[in-house]
Amino acid sequence: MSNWNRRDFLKGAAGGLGMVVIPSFLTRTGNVFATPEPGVATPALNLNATYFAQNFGVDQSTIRKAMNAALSKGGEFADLFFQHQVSNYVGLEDGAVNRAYSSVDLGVGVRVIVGDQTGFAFTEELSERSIVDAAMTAASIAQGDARKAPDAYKVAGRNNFYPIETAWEEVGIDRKIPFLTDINERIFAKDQRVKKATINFSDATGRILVINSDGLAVEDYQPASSIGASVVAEQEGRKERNGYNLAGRRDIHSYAEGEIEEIADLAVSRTVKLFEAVTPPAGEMPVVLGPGGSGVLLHEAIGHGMEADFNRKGVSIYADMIGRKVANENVTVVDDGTNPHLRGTINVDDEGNPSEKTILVENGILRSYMHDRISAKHYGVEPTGSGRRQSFRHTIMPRMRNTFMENGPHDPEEIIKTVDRGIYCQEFTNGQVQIGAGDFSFYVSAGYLIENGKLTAPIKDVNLIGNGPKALENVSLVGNDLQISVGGWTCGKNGQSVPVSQGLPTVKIDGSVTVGGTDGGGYRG
Amino acid sequence: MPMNNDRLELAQWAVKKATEAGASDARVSVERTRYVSIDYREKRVEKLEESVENGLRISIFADGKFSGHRTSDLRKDALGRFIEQGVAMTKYLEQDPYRLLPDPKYYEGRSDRDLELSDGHYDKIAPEDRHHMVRTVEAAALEAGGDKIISVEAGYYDSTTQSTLVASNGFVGESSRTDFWTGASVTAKDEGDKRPSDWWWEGHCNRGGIADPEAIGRSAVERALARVGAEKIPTEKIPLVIENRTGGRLLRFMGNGLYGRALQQKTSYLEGKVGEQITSPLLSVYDDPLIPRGQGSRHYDGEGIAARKLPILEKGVLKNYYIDTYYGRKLGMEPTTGGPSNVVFDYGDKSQEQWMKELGRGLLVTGFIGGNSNSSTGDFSTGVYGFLFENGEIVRPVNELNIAGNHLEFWHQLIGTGNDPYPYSSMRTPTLVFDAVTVAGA
Repeated sequence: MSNWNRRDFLKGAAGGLGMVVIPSFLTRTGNVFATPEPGVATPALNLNATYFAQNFGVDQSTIRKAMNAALSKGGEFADLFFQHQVSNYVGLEDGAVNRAYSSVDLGVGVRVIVGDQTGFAFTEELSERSIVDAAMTAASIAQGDARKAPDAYKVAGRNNFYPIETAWEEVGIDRKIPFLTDINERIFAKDQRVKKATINFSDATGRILVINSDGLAVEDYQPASSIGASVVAEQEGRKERNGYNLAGRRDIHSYAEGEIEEIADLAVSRTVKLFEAVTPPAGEMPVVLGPGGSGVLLHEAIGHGMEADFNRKGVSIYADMIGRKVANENVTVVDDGTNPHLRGTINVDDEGNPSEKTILVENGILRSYMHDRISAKHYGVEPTGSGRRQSFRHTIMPRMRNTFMENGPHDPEEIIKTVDRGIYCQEFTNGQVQIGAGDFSFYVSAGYLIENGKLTAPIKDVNLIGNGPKALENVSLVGNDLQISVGGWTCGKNGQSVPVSQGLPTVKIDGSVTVGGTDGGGYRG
Repeated sequence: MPMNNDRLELAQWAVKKATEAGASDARVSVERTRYVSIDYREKRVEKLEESVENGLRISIFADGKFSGHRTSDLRKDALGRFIEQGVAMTKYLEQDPYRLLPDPKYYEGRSDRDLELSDGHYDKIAPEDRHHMVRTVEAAALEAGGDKIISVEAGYYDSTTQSTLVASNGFVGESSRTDFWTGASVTAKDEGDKRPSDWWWEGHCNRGGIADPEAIGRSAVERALARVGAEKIPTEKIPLVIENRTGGRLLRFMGNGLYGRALQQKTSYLEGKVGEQITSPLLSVYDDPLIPRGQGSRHYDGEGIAARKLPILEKGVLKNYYIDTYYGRKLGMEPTTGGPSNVVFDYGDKSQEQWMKELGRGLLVTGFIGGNSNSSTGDFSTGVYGFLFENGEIVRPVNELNIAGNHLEFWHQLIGTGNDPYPYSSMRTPTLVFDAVTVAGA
């Protein structure tokens, strides 16, 4: 159901991501639009001055007609989600920068809500007729008297958690190519066992305009980028592959010497380390999760289950657990959309609500679900800024942003010392959860055996499986070294993908989690 | 947008635009999908969606360089600029001598078999017919589940897709298909906070293929209720019977080493293994694109290469890879096709039940959770759940288990396949039966 994939950039390319030309209609409007002061409400938005009015002729009159059409059958609420997304990809393979891909998505999704029922339609043509037609289709969820659309729209205050110096529209492919060749040269210089390297540079520029029948209008400018390297090394006929990538709502200046060297260095060192790996063990044992990407545990074990749509429908294992003690007092888990420049960060959600830091578990007590408008209304609470969608072609659901555990009191080395025989997990590729049963799993691409309180031989390619509430209950030690992953994580739910991140300090889980190796006899083959 | 002729005209216009802008060659696909999706919960519509999606993809070959682009903005002025900019930016790249359109000889021999992929009645379906079908599924599920279940989410989806593919070296192809799906997810009550769930959906390219929506609703309930009380069992070596619905996931893990790109980039554990016995002789697998009404059927692939049946494994011996034009040229190999269509098997003569009887005791795997497979080495590890059976009968549901191994060893332990291809996927996987393997548990 909720299937994660570490973004595979090469697969993304095959799907049409990537490249670098500036469509001229983007350059006309200049740059990132002005950012309102944080938290300060600004006056009514001039609907004739939005990005979509200036570039695609979607003006106040069109919006009024569309909103009236959406409410023409008695819908209680309607929103219009305009989106223009330009994505570019350039890739190096076999030493040459010889492929580029680009993708343009432009359209509007119209949603009409009655109670918890949703009507939805989208169109990729931004003509008045097409937008009104889509609105009429979405309106048909309701069967009542027409309601009138608002006369004016207020723009809410909006933070900017991803200020950038240079917009990606202004960065030509010629400026990206040197990054790829530079990383490639560094990779091959580092280790003679390296046989192949593929490097990619992706960027995306998203512009959204959300307008709803409560009279709210919000625009956002959403930059994103990533650089990744994948390496294949060979030793005595054995091949291993690994890689590293840096992703986030970053501009080109955030990829400097330090970042370039980090990508090359980690891509190589993580690959050649795998030659030392021994057969991973099988069965229940203590598991220590290293800081960073291991937040995948939270994403699967509790994150999805805390998305309020599953709870509203009664299909989540957490449906009756708010207020209950689910973990020891050192465990505080949050889903935060406000961390500067992280991949899962959003200024506003796709319903126009401001992003926030939502506390899921506070000192061991289950506190709040993640809400979109429908679930917030159902529970009689404020939305948490968690309403997200893959694109204008998809409907809103409560989704995670950056999910992590706050620091605890323990020293990471002391945590490892408490384990006689177990495993230490360091790198991850993907995970999955069954919302109702609570069973989750995640795939550890690299880690170590722990023997007598020390990290010993590397292990690789081992899946871990457990039960969400049971695993939380068994979190015994929480380190003081929180890291949030800067990798290119993508979360899938009901067929929709959104960018996210996650993090964890070093954490120990006592028993209860099954390590899916093949070595059933012990801890060393 | 575009009726057939308009789509062909647009594709040809885009190819011409690219060559006028300086491309030596171009390939364009134009696709239109209209869909309706209806979800029901508590006997009311939860969500109703209806839209038309358009898209154009173009591959540009200029000065021995290559790029690919996709857009949903089909206004001709915007599209013209988009293509010109695509050609202009391609020139910044490095030359790639392997990047060419397919040799036109691979376009030849395209089958003219009627694949019956498009239901001519699609446009005549009344909205009420769709609602009736999903309500029927839901009502059957609610009745079968009674107070043992918490939730039924029933759904219906249909779509009609028309696509056109044109390449500047002479390829023209047009295809259309319809799809009709309905089913339900059901969540059951259990001890404590657990709410086990399962689903059953069926899909066909003709609406008449969905014969018994009530049975679909009941199947979803039966499957969810069967999960109640699932528990972990201790780690042990035990025979596996993998249900036909779920086996495709394991085969996809195995198949990630079959692609030209993986071979050329040295990330395939199957490099150099053609002609070798890589699985038990009981496994024969074919890619068969020309099956009438098949979920993955096609007359040509994404590059225009004429579709034909391709043996992948014959009695466990590796016969072919999936090779597209680009990686074929890089590897010095003939292209076959870039990716799977329908995956079919030589099927055994026993049902799942008969296999369970024959084995006596074992683990019936009805689902995988998480997991992955390292295509470079063939190592895999994945969560499994299902049922423990003894004396051929299911004794209890089990979960939180894991299997792992290396494909080059694991598939030699296959001791049989079922007579039961799963019909609702392009991977028509039968029941797969394995001799005792280590299942990690408590």
